[in-house]
Amino acid sequence: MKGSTLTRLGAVTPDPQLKITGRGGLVVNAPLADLKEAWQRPLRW
Amino acid sequence: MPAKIEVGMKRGLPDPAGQSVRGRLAEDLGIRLDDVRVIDVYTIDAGLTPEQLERVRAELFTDPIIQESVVNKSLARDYDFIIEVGFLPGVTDNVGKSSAEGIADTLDRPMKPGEAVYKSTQYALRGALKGAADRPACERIARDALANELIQRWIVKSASEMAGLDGALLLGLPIVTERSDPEVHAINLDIPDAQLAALSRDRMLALELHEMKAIQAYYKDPDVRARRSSAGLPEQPTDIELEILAQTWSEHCKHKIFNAEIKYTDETGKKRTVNSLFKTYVKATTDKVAKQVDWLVSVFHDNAGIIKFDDHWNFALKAETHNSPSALDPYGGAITGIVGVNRDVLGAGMGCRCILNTDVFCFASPFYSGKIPPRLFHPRRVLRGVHQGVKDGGNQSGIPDVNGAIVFHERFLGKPLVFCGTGGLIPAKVAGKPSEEKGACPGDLIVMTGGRIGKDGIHGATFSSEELHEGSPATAVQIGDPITQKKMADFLLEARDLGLFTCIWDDGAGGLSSSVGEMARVSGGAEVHLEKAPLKYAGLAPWEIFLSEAQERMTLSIPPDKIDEFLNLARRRAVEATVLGTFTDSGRLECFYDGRKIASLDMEFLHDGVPKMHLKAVYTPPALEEASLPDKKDLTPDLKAVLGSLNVCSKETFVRMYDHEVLGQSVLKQFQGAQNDGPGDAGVIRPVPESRRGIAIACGICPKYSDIDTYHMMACAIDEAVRNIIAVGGRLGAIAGLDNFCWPDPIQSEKTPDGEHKLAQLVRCAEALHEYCVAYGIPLISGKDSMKNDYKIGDTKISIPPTVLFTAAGIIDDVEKTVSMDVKRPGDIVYAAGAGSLSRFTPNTRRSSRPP
Repeated sequence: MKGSTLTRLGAVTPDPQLKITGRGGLVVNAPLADLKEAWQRPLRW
Repeated sequence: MPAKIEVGMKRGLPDPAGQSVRGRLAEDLGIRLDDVRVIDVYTIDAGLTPEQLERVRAELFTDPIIQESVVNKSLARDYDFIIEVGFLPGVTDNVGKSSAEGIADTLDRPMKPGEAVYKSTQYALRGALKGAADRPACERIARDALANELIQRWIVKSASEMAGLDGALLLGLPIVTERSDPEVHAINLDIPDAQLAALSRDRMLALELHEMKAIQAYYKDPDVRARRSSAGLPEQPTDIELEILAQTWSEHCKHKIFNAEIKYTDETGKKRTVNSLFKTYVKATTDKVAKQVDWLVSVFHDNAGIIKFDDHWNFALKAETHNSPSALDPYGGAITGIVGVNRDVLGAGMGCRCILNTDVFCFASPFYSGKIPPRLFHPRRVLRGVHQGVKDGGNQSGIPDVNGAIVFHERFLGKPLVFCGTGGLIPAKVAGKPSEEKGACPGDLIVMTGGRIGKDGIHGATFSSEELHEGSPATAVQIGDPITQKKMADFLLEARDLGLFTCIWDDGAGGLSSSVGEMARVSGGAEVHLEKAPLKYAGLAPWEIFLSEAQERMTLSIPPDKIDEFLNLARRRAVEATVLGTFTDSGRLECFYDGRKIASLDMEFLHDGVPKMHLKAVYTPPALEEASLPDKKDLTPDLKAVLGSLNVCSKETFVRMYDHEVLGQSVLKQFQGAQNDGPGDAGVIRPVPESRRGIAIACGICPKYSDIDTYHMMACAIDEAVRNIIAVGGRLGAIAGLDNFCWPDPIQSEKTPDGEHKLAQLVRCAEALHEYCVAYGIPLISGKDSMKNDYKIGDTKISIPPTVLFTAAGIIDDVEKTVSMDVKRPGDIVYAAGAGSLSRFTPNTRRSSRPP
């Protein structure tokens, strides 16, 4: 990893919620189950 | 009189296959039925006694726990309509063939010549469709959902019509009735240019005029004429000679566009000449990287690329496309694609054992609601058929699927892309010699093993010029047979270890013409006796025997002192093997039929006579604007929209159906995480149990980028594959790459007015391939190009977005140090590594000191 640029973005939390802050506030705040459902639904045939 | 056995699920038990069809009819055609039952029909044309029929019904065809069955009666009950779907004559019927073998084994009675079993399927429909007025709807169900009219036929019967037909054969026997004399014709080439071009088109030779003229000139050469006359051959080429030249000189086999001289004008107007994209960008990459790595074993010249795995084993890798066949028959095209690339690996070196498959598909949206142009299927049907084909091909061969992707773009409506990849393992030494060294010696016998030859796949999978009539075989499409191939593969690996052959080659595109023609380059010639070739049915012209792409065949060169042992072993393993001729050093490829010489071609002209193409490419970058991000407070709905978009959303439904486990070597599988449903970055296997070394396989593909710049499309695909390998624990310096190009026609012509631009896109793409692979130290060990991915009927033309699949294989030193993609425990810190693009969108983050 020598010479690589690393940017600290956040941490893993125990609660099943994705929170992203930016532009001076919380921009994403959603239960993981909702996001997963959005991701799994379209091609769940 | 043929007998019939019908097998279905027991009444009272649910019928999952029927339920699945019912769901599809509702979803795809909007026809809602109360019930659909599926009945498997085996028509046995073998003169079995009633006792024998009863025995195979009970012991072979029926699972007594869940199924019921009848002999010479109809099983269906409580239905309104029956649709029975069976194959057209000559189409590969895998289940029928396995059934015949099963009967022979069960009764200990070999099938006699002419005896066979034919598989068909009945769909018993109940509800909604009742009377005679509903017959057109049933026809529609058959045509649009249950059958493919290119390879199958069907019959619709109402319940009242069936009353007098209990146990009757609904479809006739699909026996090929065509009989043509095995004649050889001379073809006059002393004709004007316009007629030469027409000849190429009408015979589907796919040769350009300047190539036809090169052939014309060859046959005018006084030396050639003198030699032909003394050999008793006509002055003009025979049909088989012309077909051999067309096959050997095809874009598919000679990669004429990749070897062309291209006059390239870049976006600034600067001109330069690229003499062969292959040499300048592909081979040059490997030549440069070869100086840094010591694990390249065999690159470019064999059926697949081979690298070193450890001191005792080598690893072979190859990916192929099967696009046009999959457009015509999604199931058959895809299964042929996967078993075909398996054979490439089986034919690499002295024969590799297949240990993994990859699959990458490109389709239009399955939710497409526009008009479907003639002769195309709805993308949903293509997706289902291709998926089923690759699933059957891989699962039935016992080869695990370790990695893949499904990519959607509207322009894949014109031609779906079906990439199939395979990796294989081979001992570094076989019978005391390096296993990558092979070559037919003069005097070695030409032996064909595996399936028989039919009219399948003559001229690749282009539509046959003759109309399909009742008794004519379906020549356009092949259907792979994994069972026959598996048996052949196991036998050949056994023969390999006994040192029984000197060379092995796949009979893929171009059939015997291609395999014998390639193998004869080492010995310096060959002599083939075509009447000896085993046929599926009589009536093939000699050129058809030599050119047929019938599947599941390999060609071998066998020293005369080993032939008895080889044929003996083949008999014991129930694999058909036939001596067809001899490799020679005559400098000529010669074919005979019933003792008469019908073809004699100079090897040099055959392989090096194709004239170089001279093409022009002009690059004009598209005018594009950078997207701007809207200033929104809550991006959660946007995130959900991205997650739910077709190219991001979960493909688990499809991927889950592949066998990820067979062979018991998986380290990191396709799905990972606490709930085992998150996609992994790269598949990792541990192929040699006593070693902790592993192989990581990943893919990169991003066709959408091509509309911006094909240079970055290529760069992103390489980068994606490399990052996937690194993410699981691979390292630079131990990664090999495969490039599979799929392009729309890049040759300027009336039908392709933007050919110069598309060729320029190809040049830029090849540049990126070279620059990125050299920078990463990735040698390209094999690859392929498919250059005519367009659809044109009438005024509708659809060209696919230029696409390259980049497959990467990384050797992992210790599989116990691989990393899965899931986050491991609360409190772990999340970092972005190589944070180039992050700085643009989040100005407060610490900026990277390196440019993106």
